[in-house]
Amino acid sequence: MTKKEKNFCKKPFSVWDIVIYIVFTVFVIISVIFVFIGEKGNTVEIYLDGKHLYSFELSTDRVIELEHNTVVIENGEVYISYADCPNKICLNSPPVSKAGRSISCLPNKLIVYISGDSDYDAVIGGGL
Amino acid sequence: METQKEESVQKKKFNYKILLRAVLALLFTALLIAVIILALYTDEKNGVIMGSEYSFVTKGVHSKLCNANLISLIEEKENLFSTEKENSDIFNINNAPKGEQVKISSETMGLLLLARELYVKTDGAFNIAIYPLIELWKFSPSTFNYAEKQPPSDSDIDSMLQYCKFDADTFILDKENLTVTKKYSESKLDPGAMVKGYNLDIARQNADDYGISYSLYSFGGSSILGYKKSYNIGIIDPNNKERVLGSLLLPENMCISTSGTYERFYKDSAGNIYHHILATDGKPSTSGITGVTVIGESGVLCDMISTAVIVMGLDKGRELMLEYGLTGIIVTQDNKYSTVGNIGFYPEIDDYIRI
Repeated sequence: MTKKEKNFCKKPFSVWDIVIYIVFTVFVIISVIFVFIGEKGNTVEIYLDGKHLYSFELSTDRVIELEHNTVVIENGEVYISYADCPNKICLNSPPVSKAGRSISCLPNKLIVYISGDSDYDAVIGGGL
Repeated sequence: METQKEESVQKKKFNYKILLRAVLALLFTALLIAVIILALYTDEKNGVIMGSEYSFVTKGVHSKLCNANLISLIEEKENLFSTEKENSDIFNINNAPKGEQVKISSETMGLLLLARELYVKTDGAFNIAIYPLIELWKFSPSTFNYAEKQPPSDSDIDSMLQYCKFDADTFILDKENLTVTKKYSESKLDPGAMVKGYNLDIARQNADDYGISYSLYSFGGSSILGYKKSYNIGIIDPNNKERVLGSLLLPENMCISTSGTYERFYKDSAGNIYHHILATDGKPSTSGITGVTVIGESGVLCDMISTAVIVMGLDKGRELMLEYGLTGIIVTQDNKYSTVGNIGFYPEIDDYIRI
């Protein structure tokens, strides 16, 4: 056995192992970052009764018929066009178009939220 | 022969080590991926609870469990504080006849005592007993819509006012025996002006218990907590809700609450506008304040004070905020705003005047 081979067998981890581990680590971190922080346009997220139902691009016009509501994506804006609840407050809410804004039909537990790039982490207003 | 044997043994040993290394490397990588994914894992929850929307964006290893537990905690509170849910403490108080001692939980008693403290402190500007008038005005969740309607008459309002006091005479709060006794059967409570903020305090405690990294909690779009991280918060212009008045950096672990007259309102046939925040005379507040933002450590206090300031007006409202060590912004109907304390507010529209 040569000296080199001897060393190789004695030490379970050589410098090269560590190099490989570092390469692995960097690769994993980069791929995870790409997965989590990928560039996204504004999307319309529809939640019903606490569950995420659909994601749609805000840029594509679409009508989404749900059991108790109809949600319309039109010209980069979202609004609720139909609700079977008695008060119909959501039908009077102005359309939303910016990331971070939402409209809701509370009696039917429907939340329509725009996610994407926003200047703010959250927008606050209204309330008692 | 011998040297050949030795070589083959060496070869076998060498292969074994390689295998061990490969397994180790694989395990290490898998562990690394798991740790990174869990640490970066964000759990987002959006839904409706207690009749208003919530949104949680939570980061950390236990974020999913943490959010699920928070929802079940708040559902428990709904069974105490809801005006609609049968057999909640508040429901039982509201439906009890005069003189009956209604047994409530110690948590509800705590909330009512706090409401009493603020009622006395603000001379009735913060009043959870104004609910019968809210119903008379058709601003309660089950009665409100934007349709044009006539407001109630002055005589109807005046006859209702006596039931809408939260003083020690109208509502007897017995903190020893945990009972509430009403003087009038007609009296009713709605803690809606404090529960959203109260939920933030529960959210903070829950996040502490789960040891999560950081989180943004929002209730009703009007009460927000930035847990363990400072967040950039945009504040909706109370005089034009389609735009943002400006933004501020909410320091970590602080709560922010808003109240506005622009959320629930209707017009009568003459075009007069009536909004849902009623003053001590039982009519929509005419203080000229259209929006209040309050920042502080206690969520419930921020929520309560924001409502009180709308009724109390600029000067008294500012005094009240300072007295409780709170900061914020007060906006008037004529496009003026005033900041209270150092909040680092950054206005983003230029048709406002700072006063």
